[in-house]
Amino acid sequence: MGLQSYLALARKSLLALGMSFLPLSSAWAHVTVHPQEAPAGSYTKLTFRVPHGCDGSPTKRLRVQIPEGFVSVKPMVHPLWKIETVKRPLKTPYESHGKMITETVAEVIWSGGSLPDGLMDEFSISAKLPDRPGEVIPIPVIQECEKGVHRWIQVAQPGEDPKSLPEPAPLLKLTGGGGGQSHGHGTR
Amino acid sequence: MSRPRRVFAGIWAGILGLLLWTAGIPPAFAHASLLSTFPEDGAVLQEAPTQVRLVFNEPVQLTQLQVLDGNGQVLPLENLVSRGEALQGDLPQGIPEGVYLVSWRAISADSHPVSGSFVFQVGAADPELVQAVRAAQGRKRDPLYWPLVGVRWGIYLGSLFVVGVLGWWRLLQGRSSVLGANGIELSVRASGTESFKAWAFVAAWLTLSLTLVAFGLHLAQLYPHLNGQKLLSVMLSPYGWGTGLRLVGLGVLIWACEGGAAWASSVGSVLVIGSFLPIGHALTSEYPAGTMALLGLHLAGSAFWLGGLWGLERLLSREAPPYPSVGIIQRFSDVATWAVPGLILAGMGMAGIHGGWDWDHPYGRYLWAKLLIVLMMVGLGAHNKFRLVPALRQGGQAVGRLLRQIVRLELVGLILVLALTSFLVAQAPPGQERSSPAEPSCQEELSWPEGSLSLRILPCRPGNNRVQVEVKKIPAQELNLAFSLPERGIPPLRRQMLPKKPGQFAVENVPLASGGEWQIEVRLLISDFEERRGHIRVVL
Repeated sequence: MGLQSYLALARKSLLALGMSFLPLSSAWAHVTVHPQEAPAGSYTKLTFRVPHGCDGSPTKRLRVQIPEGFVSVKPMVHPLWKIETVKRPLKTPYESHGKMITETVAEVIWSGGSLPDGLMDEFSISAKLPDRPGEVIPIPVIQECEKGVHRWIQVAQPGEDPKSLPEPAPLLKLTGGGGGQSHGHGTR
Repeated sequence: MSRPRRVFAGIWAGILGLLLWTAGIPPAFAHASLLSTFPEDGAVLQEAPTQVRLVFNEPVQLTQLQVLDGNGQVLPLENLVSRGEALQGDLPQGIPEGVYLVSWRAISADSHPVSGSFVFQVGAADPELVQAVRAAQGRKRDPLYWPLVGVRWGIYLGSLFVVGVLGWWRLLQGRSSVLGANGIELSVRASGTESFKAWAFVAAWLTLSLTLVAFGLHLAQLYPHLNGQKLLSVMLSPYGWGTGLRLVGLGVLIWACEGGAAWASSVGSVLVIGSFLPIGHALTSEYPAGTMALLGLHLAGSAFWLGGLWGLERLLSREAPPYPSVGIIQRFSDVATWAVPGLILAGMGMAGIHGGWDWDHPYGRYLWAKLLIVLMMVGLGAHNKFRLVPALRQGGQAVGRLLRQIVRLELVGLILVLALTSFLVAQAPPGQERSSPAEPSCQEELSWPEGSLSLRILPCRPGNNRVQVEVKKIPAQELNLAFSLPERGIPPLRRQMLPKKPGQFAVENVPLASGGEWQIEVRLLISDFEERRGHIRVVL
């Protein structure tokens, strides 16, 4: 083995070492939901944190898909951003405050603003979480930028390391013993 | 007399012309053909390649793969892999600029040794140097090629001659017993049959020896790599079986010539003809059984023709008017009327199965040359049958002499046809090259509960590749592929595609720079918020 091949080996090892840090470095830079745990069946404020743009490009639009079972969804007012909701019919309509609720929010869209890559922002909704304690629910988010898009929609398959996903969906864990009755609202 | 002379001269000129022309047909590889190589022959590469790779039209067993630099130094090859039709080996890292010669030897599926070489260049192009290296290699390329062609010719000629002459002797015997009953000149013909048997005896021994020589030459081609295991594998291959069968058949025929049992000559003939069936391209063709049957008919017809012509020549040289054997000649002529067209049709059918009638291919050109010579001979034979043989019945020495000359000419033509055949079988038929894909491609599938995806890489060689993806049963919005080669530390190379047509994706020029096991990460977006993922591994 000549000096050259040692050098080549060294170069390769360095590259491999560098690559092994890549997933770590990006782990804190995903779009995430806060809190990451909430009582099942409770009314909770969920905040989506957008820590960066798309490769330097400012964020122009954020779309959050509301998972099945989330009801009474209300986006929080967000100055300078336009807020839209997309509705879908409920499979099992329910009564709330004497009204039949037949549809629910399927998607919340924030648009019309511009969030530079160097700044961060948070987008919030409140919702009644499904009463399924112990479940971990992915909430897919699409971050559209002036140039490019991040689809935070990946869910780890069985046997797959969630940390290895380049664009994981924010995860919300439902904890047991929720305050489902605290507001006296009807359950599903 | 002058008109037939001119006809002869014309025919001779035609045959000579054909031969000169066939001499210019380049010899191709026997049996297994090299479809592609990396680097390609004559390629000029800017960067040093990391491996060499050969792809054949059929599975081969590699016995030697050598890379020589400009000074004739052998470069060490590592990780030699032989996967069916493809062979590859890793070159040392960063070989310097210069001309490199790759030479290889392998044993094809039917156990024929094949060999060849190609040249590539790293750095600036230097056509003169390439020419020099190529020429130096060309001179020493397979020294056993010509001896083998010669020996093969001898074996064809000898085998068909023995089978044909013994068949002819039977024909003659049947005739002489009839004649004998009439009590005419039995003794003359009896001595004639003895001489036929003597010729057959000598030819059988010669052919037997040549068969052994050919076997020895084939083994010699393997020489530096020959060991007990290889010897056994050659002996148990179709080629080995054929050789064994031929030796047994010739032995039985020798015994028949020495007055063996009555069945000996027919059994020996069947064995000898049968010994050719498993060798060559019949087994690897698309319809092995049909091709082998056609080959059997073709060989039996050829044997009859060769033995018959020779027997006719002997008879005519011995006899004078009023030609007592004219009945035998008539009988030969009658049998030949269906046997010769039959053998030609069988041969054409066989060539058709091989897809051999292709003018652009050496095989096709040999085939056309062969057919042309044979058709000329058929013309002569028809002339014999319809003009000369009836005239011979009337007697007349001139007719007899002319017939003998034509028969001699036909014999020479037949021997030339056999020589052409010994070249022909050294070529891989174009059909067998076409039957396997000209470009190897890697195709892999991924499936999910709701649908599947198939990914294809072309040409599946280190370098720029085209990647095609077809998605079935699921709506596909967008496809993301990430190519990485962890074993070489090549980080993911990402490609994003939108469908060209529903479910169809393609991307050009993906630089899969190096050989090895590439990992392809597939992300298929099936709705705004949903994707399907999977991993594909492809070995380049």
